[in-house]
Formats: sequence, structure tokens, C-alpha cells
Amino acid sequence: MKFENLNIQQLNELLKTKQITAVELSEYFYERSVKAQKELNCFITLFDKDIVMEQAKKIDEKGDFTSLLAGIPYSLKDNIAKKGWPMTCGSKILSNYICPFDSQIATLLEKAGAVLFGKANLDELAAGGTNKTSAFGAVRNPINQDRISGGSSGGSAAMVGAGAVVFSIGSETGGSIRQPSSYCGVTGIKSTYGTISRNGVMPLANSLDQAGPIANNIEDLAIITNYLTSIKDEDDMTHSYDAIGKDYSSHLNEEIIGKNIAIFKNLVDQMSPEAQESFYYHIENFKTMGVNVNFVEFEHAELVSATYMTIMCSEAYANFSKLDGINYGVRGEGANFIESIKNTRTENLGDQVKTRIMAGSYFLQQDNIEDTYNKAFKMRTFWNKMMLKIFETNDVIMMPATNSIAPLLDASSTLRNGIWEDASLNISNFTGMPGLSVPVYLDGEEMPYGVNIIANLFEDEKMFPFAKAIQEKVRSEK
Amino acid sequence: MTKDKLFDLAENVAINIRDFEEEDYLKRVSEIVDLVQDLKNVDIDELMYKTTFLKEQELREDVAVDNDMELMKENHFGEDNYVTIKSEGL
Repeated sequence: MKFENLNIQQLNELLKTKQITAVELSEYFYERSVKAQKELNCFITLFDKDIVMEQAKKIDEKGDFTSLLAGIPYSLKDNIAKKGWPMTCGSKILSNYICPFDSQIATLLEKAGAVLFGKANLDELAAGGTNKTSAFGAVRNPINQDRISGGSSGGSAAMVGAGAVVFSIGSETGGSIRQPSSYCGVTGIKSTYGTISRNGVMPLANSLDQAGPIANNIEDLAIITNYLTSIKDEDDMTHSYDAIGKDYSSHLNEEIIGKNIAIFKNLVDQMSPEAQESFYYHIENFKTMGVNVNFVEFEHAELVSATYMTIMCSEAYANFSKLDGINYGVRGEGANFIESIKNTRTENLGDQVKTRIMAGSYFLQQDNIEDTYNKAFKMRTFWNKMMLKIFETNDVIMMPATNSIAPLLDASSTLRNGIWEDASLNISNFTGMPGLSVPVYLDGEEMPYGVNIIANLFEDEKMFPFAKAIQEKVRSEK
Repeated sequence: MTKDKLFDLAENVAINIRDFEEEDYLKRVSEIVDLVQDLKNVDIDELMYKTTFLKEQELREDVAVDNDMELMKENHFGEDNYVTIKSEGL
């Protein structure tokens, strides 16, 4: 049986009825993980087999499969803490760092009985969109190894796409869950800001960051999100009391006839013809299902990239100032304290991170802050109002998640994949609104695009029936 | 972006830029700073008036006061407390 083609519900049924044990399931996926690591470089730390099997054995001994995640193999992006294990964040500067505590995410998943296989590769400090900036090497796309996985949660998306684990937890600041999901043909969700605790998640830009799951299908994504919604904890921004008790799975089959989809026409018009074609094919399908489609305008979308880079670089500059080799991480030699810090950072941070923190330092200087960081926050407020207005009369907004299929590994790439893609993805991070990417394919093509679905704050459940409709259409045609 | 400015920024973030890296970092940092130039050039108030989707006066007012000290005083300190703190030299 090809277990990688089954969803969590189906795997749970096999475990519950003792048609397979958790150990057998982990053995099956571990073999696939070893192969995926060799081909894709998707793990930074793949646990030794006995560590994985020990977890699975405990689940079997307990024999309780009430939790749907009991015995299910998964991974954490390597910027999410797991006590006693390395957390490199994809950077040389943290290559010797061992976590002293569990993230809230790891705690919840351990409680649910999921079996942790290891830590997934990522762009250095999650500050990238290609996964080519990891100090541990680039991640290859599972569909075509000559192409990138995307990033920064590239290792997570690649290993889920390769069927090496059932799901992985990623994080995003400007689309780093949804963009690699789009490139690797898997589904990923950024929940409403504050729904999932970031306690134990290395920050990049606190006002934008959110963690979330990547899985092979929308049903699994709903189940995992149910388990990740946590009570308020050390992450001050966690305000999940609005989401507690929600069962996202129960919304998968909700009726969508008569519902309203908004499309930013001015934005979609600027994207590549292929991205538009794959996107509008599914929009037409929604129309035949009785869904209303409304075209709206994304005001001042041309300023999204500038706003994003300003906020992200500025907050990253502040966050990464602690990476000095004094309290933890690699420490460089130096004749004095200052020289040691400078050598630590010079020798152990990558080019892209250095560039971005220098830019962040520039934006926050007294002469520039009013025209950059403060303006960026005003633009955020403006777009927040725009989105709330749109959601007064629409259930979800849809856009292509990416402007292209996954670029080739050897293609040069410094900034993001165009301002229109940035607008599609970043708007969820600016506003805190949830976003979900579900893969679609152009006729006869092997590489996917993603459709990005956005809902209003704390209305994450509204995205699921639309995503399921797209998934079913794609499956019926494959 | 000049080389001097670049070295200032590098000093700020405790990084040494080695000779052979100067041009590369100048290009990389300038790329981001140039991108943000669009934002620097924009007149936010003008932008609000030009907006076609949202024409409400309320929106323009909300955005205009978001970073306003008056609002911060009310929200975070209360008028009286703010005056007290200020008078104590903070």
C-alpha cells in the first residue's frame, strides 16, 4: 500500500483497526525520508532511525489512536524549537545551538502523538524565498529537481511533496508557507495572526510572522490546524480564544453556492499569462457552481514590495541583533569584545541576511524612519481598511499564489518574484488575515501553480470549502 | 547609496565589509533602498484622496491619525498620565 497517498483520516483508520502499527508506518516513511534527503536536501537534521522508532513504539504501546495525529510522521521547520535538538535556523551562526525548551507547537504535536522525524531546511533565518540561501545547501523541488523548492519553508514543502512525511510545520513572514507550497504542489496555510502560538519560533519580523502547517491535501491541513490552535501563552500576540473550539474539518463540505469571491483584477492582469490561465480556469469553474465572482481593485499594489521590505528588514535588523555569539551560537575570535562580535557576524551570517539587516538599519535611522518605516505602517493600515471593506460583501478573495512555476535552481534571484506576487502573498501578513495555497496545474504540465485564498480575520474556516472544491476539480482531471 | 554610507550601516550592525565585497554589498543594499524609494516619494495624504475604492472621509482620518502622538497619548497613557510623565523628564 502506498501510505503517502492516504490522508491522515485514512491512516488513522488503519492504525485504529490495527491493520498497521505506528512503528511500521514510521519505518515506511523513514525510508522515504532518507531517500528524499539524498535527492532534495530537505532536512537539516533527520533524526537517527532509533529516535524516530522509539517515539512510534511508545504510541503503539499506549494503543490510543483517539487523536488523529497519533503515530503520524511529521517535521518542524528548523526555526521551531524542539528541546534537546539543534535549531540552526538555516544559519552557520546557530549551527551549534541546541534548544533548551520546546516550542508550543512541538508541545501540542507531541501531546497529540505525532512522530517527529526531524528539522526541515529553510532559507537562512527564514529571510528568503528560494531556499538557496540556507547555510546547509539549497533544497530541490520534489517534482523537478532542477527547480527550486521556494522558501523560506522550502524543506517543509519539498519533503511533504515527496511523501517523506505526512505533514510539516513551516512559518511565514511574507508568504513563506504558501509560495513553496505553490511551487512544490502541496497545500499550506497561514492562519489568522495570533491563532497559532509562536512561542519557540525564531522571529524574523514579529508583526508579520506566523507559523502553520503544510500537507498534501486540504483535509489534512484542516485537521492539523485544529490541533495547533492553542491557548494564550508566552507569545503575547496569541489571541486564539477567538478560534478555540473551531473544527475546520467540519467546514470542508460546506455549501458554496451563492457565496462571493472577490478578485483583484488589476493585480491578476499583471501576472504571467500562465498564472492567469491556470487561475481563471478555476474561477470559471466556481461560476458554474453558482458562486458569485466580483472584481475589485487592489489599491496601490505597486507599493506592497516596498512596504514589505521596509517592515521586514527593519524588524529583522532588531531581531537579529541578538545573534552576536555572546549568549549562544558560534563565537568568532577577537582581540576584544567588539571585535569578537563583529567577527562572529561577519564570518557566520550569509550575504542576504547581512544585506537585509543593513537595509533595516538604514530605514530606522532618524533621517529615514518617517519616510520609510512610519509610512509603511500607514500603508498597512490603509490596506487593512481596504480588505475589511471588501470582506463586507465577499466571503473570500482569490489570486494566483505565484507569478510563475518554480524557477530553475541556477536562475539568479535576489529579491522576490515580482511585485504582483508580493501583493498576492504579503497582504495576508500585513493585515493578519488568513491565507491558504492549493495547487492547480495547466493542462498537460507537470509543474503546479497555487491558488491563494484569503479570508477575513478569524474566518479561516471560510477558505476550506473553496480549497476543497479546487482540489476535487484538479483530482478529477488528473 | 555611497560607499561611506554603506560602511556606516555595516558599523551599525557590527559587520565588517571586506574590500572584495564592497561593490557587491553596495549593489545589494542599494537595490532594496531603491525599491523603497517609491514609498519615500509617496505623499500618504494625497494617496488617500486619490484612492478610488475607498472614498470615505472616515478612512482618511483613521489612517492619518494612526501614528499620531495624540492618539498614542489617549490609548497608552491617558492625557493626565502623559503630562505627568513628560513633566518628570521622560
